Amino acid sequence: MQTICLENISKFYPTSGVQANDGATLCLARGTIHAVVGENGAGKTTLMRILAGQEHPDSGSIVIDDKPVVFKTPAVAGQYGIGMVHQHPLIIPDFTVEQNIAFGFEPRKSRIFVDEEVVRAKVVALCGELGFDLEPSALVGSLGAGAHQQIEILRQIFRNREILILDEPTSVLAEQEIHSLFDVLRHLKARGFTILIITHKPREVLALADQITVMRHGKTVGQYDARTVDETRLARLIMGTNSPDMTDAIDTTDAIGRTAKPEEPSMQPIQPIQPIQPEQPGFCTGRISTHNLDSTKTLEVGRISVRSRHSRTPQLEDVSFSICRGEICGICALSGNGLELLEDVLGGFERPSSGSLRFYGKPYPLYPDLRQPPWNPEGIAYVPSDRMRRGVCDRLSVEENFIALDRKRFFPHGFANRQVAREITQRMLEDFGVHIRAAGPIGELSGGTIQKTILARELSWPFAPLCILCDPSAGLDITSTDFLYARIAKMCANGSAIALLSSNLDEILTLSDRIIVLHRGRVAGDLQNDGKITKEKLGALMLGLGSAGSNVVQSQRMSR
Amino acid sequence: MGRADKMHSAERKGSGFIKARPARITLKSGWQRARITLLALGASILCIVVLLLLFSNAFFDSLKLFFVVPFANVYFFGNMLSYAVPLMIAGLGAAFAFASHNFNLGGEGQVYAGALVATVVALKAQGQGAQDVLAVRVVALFAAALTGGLIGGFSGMLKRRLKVDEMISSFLASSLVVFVVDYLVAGPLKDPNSNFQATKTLPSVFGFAKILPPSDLSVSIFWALLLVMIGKLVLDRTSFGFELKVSGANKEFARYAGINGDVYSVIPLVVSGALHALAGGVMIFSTYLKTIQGFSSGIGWDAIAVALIANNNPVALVPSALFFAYLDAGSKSAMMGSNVSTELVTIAQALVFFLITATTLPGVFGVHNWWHWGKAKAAQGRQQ
Repeated sequence: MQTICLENISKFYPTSGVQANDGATLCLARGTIHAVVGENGAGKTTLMRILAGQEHPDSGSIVIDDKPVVFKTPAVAGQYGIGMVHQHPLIIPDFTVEQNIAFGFEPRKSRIFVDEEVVRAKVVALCGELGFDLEPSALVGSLGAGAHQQIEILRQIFRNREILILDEPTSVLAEQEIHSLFDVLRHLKARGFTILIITHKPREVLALADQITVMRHGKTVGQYDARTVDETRLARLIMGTNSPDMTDAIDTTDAIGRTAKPEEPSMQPIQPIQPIQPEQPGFCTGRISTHNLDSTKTLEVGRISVRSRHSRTPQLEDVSFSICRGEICGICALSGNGLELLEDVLGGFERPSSGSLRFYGKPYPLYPDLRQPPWNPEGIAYVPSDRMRRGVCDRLSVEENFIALDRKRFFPHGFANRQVAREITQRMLEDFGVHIRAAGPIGELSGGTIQKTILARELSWPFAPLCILCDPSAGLDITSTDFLYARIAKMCANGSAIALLSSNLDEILTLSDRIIVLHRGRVAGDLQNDGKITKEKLGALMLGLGSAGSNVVQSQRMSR
Repeated sequence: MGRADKMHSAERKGSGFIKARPARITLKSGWQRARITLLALGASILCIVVLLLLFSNAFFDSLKLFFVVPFANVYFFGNMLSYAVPLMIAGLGAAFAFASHNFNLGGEGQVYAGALVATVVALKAQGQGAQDVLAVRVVALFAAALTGGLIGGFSGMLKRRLKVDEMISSFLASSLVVFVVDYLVAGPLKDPNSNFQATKTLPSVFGFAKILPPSDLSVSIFWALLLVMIGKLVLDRTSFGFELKVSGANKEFARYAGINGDVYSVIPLVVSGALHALAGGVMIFSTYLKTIQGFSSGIGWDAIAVALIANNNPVALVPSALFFAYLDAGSKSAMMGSNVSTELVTIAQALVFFLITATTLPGVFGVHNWWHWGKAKAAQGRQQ
């Protein structure tokens, strides 16, 4: 039998005290698509990194075609045809597409010079075969996440790897891109490739995979034939039999250790935040409409434009909208249409060249004016899309990543109060159901756990009056996503205004009261989410196909 | 560092809603890093032994001169400790810059300029008939620190305003300063009654009290230890130190957290320059009492190595500075006592510098993945 097997793999990270793998066993047959599913932090990525030779197991063995092998480096794994497509693509932004693909494996002329023609020919042929629309001489830094992933896939094929490991490939992709990726993977399977894919989403797994391995707490629960399981069974397997209590109860003492009443009298326009009723429906299944909109405008964006000299992407032009208390405003766009820039503006990273931003009628706290921590009465919660670089500092501990946001509180009189910092951090994490040590380094956690840590920091009680959420559920498993949505509902009920910038249209449609579509930096649609909006309609607006619906709100025109 | 920043901003500009992230960092524990450092130290000692074996006529004698004599008598031992004093202070300066991810390569010039300014101020005060020795020292050292701070701050401002790489600007500024000080010492400020290229000599009452005669060791070593303690407190316990480290580790996150990153590309270089210059001033008051042309040559570079060995931990600066002082004392003793040439000693020191920076620099800048030292430790941890 032609198989690649991982047997009894264990891996412990001493600095963070995480037992990532605990006797995990996985067997994949050549020429199949094999999915590995499990919750955040179940050890999927670690297991894959071990198979790719990027980590060394403490115990256990890798057996390829009945012969045990040891992968000292990724290059050795590469000799066995194993290549990994990373969750966060490893690309060199200043190199061209073809340079990135051929990097390190360039064919040589007279053993010295890179044979660019061969590279070009090979890249063009591969792009044609797989239907990738990539310009070989384009600079990679100017391309989007989908293209980066295609480059990673091409790179592995270019290196003649026939066992591809894809680490959560769908978490960075939009709906249509996921479909085309799956077509590519099926095509590769037909060509004899073996594909190992990590994902959270049961529907995707069942649509694509032949075999499914479920992981939980570092162990493999079992291996299943995709034809014999259905979505509910799979979800139950992922979460375990005793699925955690999803009701999200919050006691009135907040995560910061203050009582529910704000300590200092809040500045005049801000309403004191009311503690939520515990019997409030804490778990949302459909669109959230339980809360009453308040006419108080939390955020007003007035005709902002951003012109930058260097950027090739469309800038923002004349964007206006406002978000009221308790309102969720979904904002979506195809990549490169100004959503990234809007995130930078709302996050305080980019100063609009014209227009006004007001937060409760006052000037918006743009950098270098300090962002207040989310737990302050005038704080802004901001979950960035670039969680690794902007959301956390991976060389600090978890706790330091929390206290960095509020030096005033955690460094009373300029000196650190580590004890308080640790207690509060641990409490905020536990409140969000993240069970990690606050003292451990954050860089060793899995991508999903890091995202949960950021969410715990930004969305803990007391809630910020304004939240900027950018792809908040990226990389989260089902349980955590449900928990997050419930939390968002609760924050709304409590009077927070939420800007939801997301590439996930399902998420936008499920959560938003109002949806704003950007196209080429302009507002292409401003719709009330009355339950009649379809993904197709949003898609058409995102592509700039005219007024794709009758309910384009007139306020856009009237505000001018 | 400049280039890394540029890469970050290039990636940021290049759209993509979820941006590329550098390869996952495998963090090494303090012990693992210490092990690599100790290995480098061992390797450098081995290199010295091999060099002596190759080039010395009397191998065992020079071996003894190099490794044993520094401990053998009070004079050498005291001088060795005395040399560690400026290394500790300047090393603290280098560590401050490193912790904020700035690279101050201008240590040489800053030490030298600090020494000259301290000498000139003290000579001036003496000329005016100042009696209060302590006050003269304080004013002179303060003036020295101010000078160094200005030189360092100059690089910081260039970086902040014009995006000039502080490595290049501090190095070039330092080279310039060295020539200016050389000129002043050999020209306008030269003592006409001396054969040395040196300034006038201060009366010995102006110096720090000696504590281990006949060696140069003075009470300045206690001041250096106090400074190191303060440095530790500032870096580890204060919000200033924390913000400095955060902006050093990840500018984007610092900005996200509302830390004013601009400040932290200037202030650490000011502090670093000031500490380097202070080291120069302390050398004057503890040992030389005058500025001699080129007398502090090498301190700025050694300070970088000292800070790298210490991995920016101020407490570790003490053993690290002592190690470098030991090597220095050993090479001086071998040079004087045997046929070993100056060049050989210089080669040995260069080797040490190379080995230390090669092994510790990647750790300081967050690249850890190239040597698998963690395996045994990982297995050990799992069993617990």
